[in-house]
Amino acid sequence: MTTIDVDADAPQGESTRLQRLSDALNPILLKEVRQAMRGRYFKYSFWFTLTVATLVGLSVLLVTMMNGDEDMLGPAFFIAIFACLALAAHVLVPFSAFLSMGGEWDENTWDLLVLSNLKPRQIVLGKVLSAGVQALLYYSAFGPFLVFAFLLRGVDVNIVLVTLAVSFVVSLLLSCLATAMSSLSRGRFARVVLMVLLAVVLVWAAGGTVGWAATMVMQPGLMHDGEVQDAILGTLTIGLAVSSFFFAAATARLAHEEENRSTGLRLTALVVLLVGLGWMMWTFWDSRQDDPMVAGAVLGFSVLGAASLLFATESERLGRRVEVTLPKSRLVAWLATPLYPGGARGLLFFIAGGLLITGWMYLFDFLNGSADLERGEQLVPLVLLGYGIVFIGLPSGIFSWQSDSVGIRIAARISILVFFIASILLPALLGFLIGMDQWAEFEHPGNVFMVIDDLWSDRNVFGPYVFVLLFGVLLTLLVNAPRLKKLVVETRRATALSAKERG
Amino acid sequence: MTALSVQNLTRRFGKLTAVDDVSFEVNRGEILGFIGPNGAGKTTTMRICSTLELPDEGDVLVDGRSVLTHPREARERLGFMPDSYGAYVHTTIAEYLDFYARAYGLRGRSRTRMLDYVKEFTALRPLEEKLITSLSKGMKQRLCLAKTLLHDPAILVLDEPAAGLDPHARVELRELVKALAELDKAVMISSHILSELSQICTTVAVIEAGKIRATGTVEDVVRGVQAKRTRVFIRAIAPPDAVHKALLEEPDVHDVRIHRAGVLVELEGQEDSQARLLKRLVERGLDPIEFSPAAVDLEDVFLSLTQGQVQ
Repeated sequence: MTTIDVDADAPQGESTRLQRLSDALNPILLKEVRQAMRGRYFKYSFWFTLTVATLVGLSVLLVTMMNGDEDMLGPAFFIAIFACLALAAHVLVPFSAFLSMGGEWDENTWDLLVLSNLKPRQIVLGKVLSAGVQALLYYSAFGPFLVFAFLLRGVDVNIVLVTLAVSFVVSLLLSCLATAMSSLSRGRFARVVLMVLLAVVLVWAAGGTVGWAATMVMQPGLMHDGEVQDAILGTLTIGLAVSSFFFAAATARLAHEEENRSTGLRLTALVVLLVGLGWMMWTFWDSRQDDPMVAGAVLGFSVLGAASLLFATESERLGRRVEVTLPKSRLVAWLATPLYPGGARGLLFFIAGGLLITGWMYLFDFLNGSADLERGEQLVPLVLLGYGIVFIGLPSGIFSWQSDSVGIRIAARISILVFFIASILLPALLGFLIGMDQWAEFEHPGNVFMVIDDLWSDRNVFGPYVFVLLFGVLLTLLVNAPRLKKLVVETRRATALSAKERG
Repeated sequence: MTALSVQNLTRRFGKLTAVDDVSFEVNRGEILGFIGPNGAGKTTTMRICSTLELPDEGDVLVDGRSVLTHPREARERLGFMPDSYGAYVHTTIAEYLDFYARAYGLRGRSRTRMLDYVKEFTALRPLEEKLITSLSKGMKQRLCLAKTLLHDPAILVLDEPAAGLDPHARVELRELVKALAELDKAVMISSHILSELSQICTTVAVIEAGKIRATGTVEDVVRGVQAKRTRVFIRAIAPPDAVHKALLEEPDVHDVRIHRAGVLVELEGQEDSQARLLKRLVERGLDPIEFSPAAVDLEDVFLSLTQGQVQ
């Protein structure tokens, strides 16, 4: 096929180590770093932040010395410099990642990137890594300031290292979020709205990190507290899990709409769910309390519900580029069904994930020796599964007849949230109007929080909610029957097509 | 050997059918001119061929790989030069090409050699340290062509590559395209400048309102048009205006325009129509002194096969 013979006399193994290293680098990373170093945004923001840090640092030193509080020189200087660093690493750098992603559409370079056969994953990774490199440049530029803060005394070196490490991880997380948000829309108005939203999140996150760092510096003893260590580790683990979800979301958004935009996201959601459950299991192990069952189920179903809200409202079609990638084996194809794109498969994903959470919780209770089937909270996972099926399945099933339309899909997502809130508020309003005090006080079967509270307190374990829930689940299955039937037909056809395609 | 096979392609945007059951093929070493008025469906067809869009029906095989089911493999074999594209700011020609070479997966010496080759081929070597934003339109087109050649595709799809170029740059581009075909690449090229295409194309596909009106070698398509219509140059003793007016009343005449000291007539039919027209001119006392069939070119084919329908 090759018509231009450039390989003919290329000697094998002649590449230098540096060349091989250069070859291994993500092309987007190289491009982004080259552009950033020459661009005005990085140059101006870099020198601006350093100037501000110098001025703020000097001001803080002067004020602290004038107050005669010389013991506070180190901590005050560190906090002031860390705040400037947070402005750069948590606001300016993620914002540049947002602009960089959007630039591919604004500057009309996206098509050429797609044609170059770079995978969406490589593109997102390159953008995030480039943000990481820019953040590292800021950290190294701020290095002398931080060393100076340490030399002023009063700042523990371990705290400096931990705060910097946490700050860097937060910067990467925010860059993942910024890239994901930037990939959501190509429309100018939507991008402006997203930009404002992102700015609010970034400023809030930077403020939070500075507040946390200040607490750690002012109370160095906290570093040796086991619970604080657990909290830092837990927050970082959850942060990484969430950022991997953002990463997968950005990757999915960049793929062609006929390609598989969902499986990566579903797998990531599953991993996030398992990380959350694992963290919960580790934290509560040997506690022999009733709480883990309820806490784990609520945490698990919250994560699963948020992800399934997106999956259950996807376009119902499998996509022509996805059909041929289905496993050849029918059994494997059916088992993998909840992981493939499509709204009905999204509902199956929720049910499968819900069963996983339920099984996990019962296993945890059993292994932990706290299983007691007579207690109400043992029913919490099953009840949450039932409510989740109704809240997600009913609105998404009703809207599934027009799921190819973006507008309808957004309407379906909003309707799930509205249905969830309305099922709590409307019966209460009705109770208020017709004089049913119990309902007016939100004690009705539509209020899932009240039902969980009852179960937790061993009240109304088999109350009227059971009938409402059973009716709701049956109605949901009925409403979803047409799309579930379509799913069966489509999967059969796609499996046959895939088998034929793969010989 | 067929390199690009477009099979019953249909693409709809809402109620509009932009591409309607389009089929044609391009072989290795062939240059296919893809011609049609604005809004005819050229760019949509080319974007489908390059995997950027998907057809609602039909398929495109790029060296035997379907753009529907094997887009990555198709992209490895096809180079697409879009009609409009952006370039990265703060980037030199050398960096731009190096980035795409890496993106295409070229490693080590292969990358260096390929970069050297495309820079030489497109004569960009002396400009490689220039920022892209400082380049002229012609140079940017060359740069995009260089980028398109980096992964050595067997098939090239060039959408309006000559648009906005000055005559000198157009000649250079024409020579580059010819050289690519000589390297046994299949080239599909769209352009509004039909005189340019006629000098390089071996085959044509004429599209209008999403439908293919004619396809085949340039000679076959011209012959097909000639079978239906003839073009004749007439000079008479009577003034051209008078001849023009008289000819418009004749039933077989499709189009008349004043050309030099005479008129150029598009005539339905063949020699019998010509004989009838000559007889009528004499009968009407216009005294023809020159009556010669004129050659039909790609522009005539285009005008003859299309009615300027836009969607």
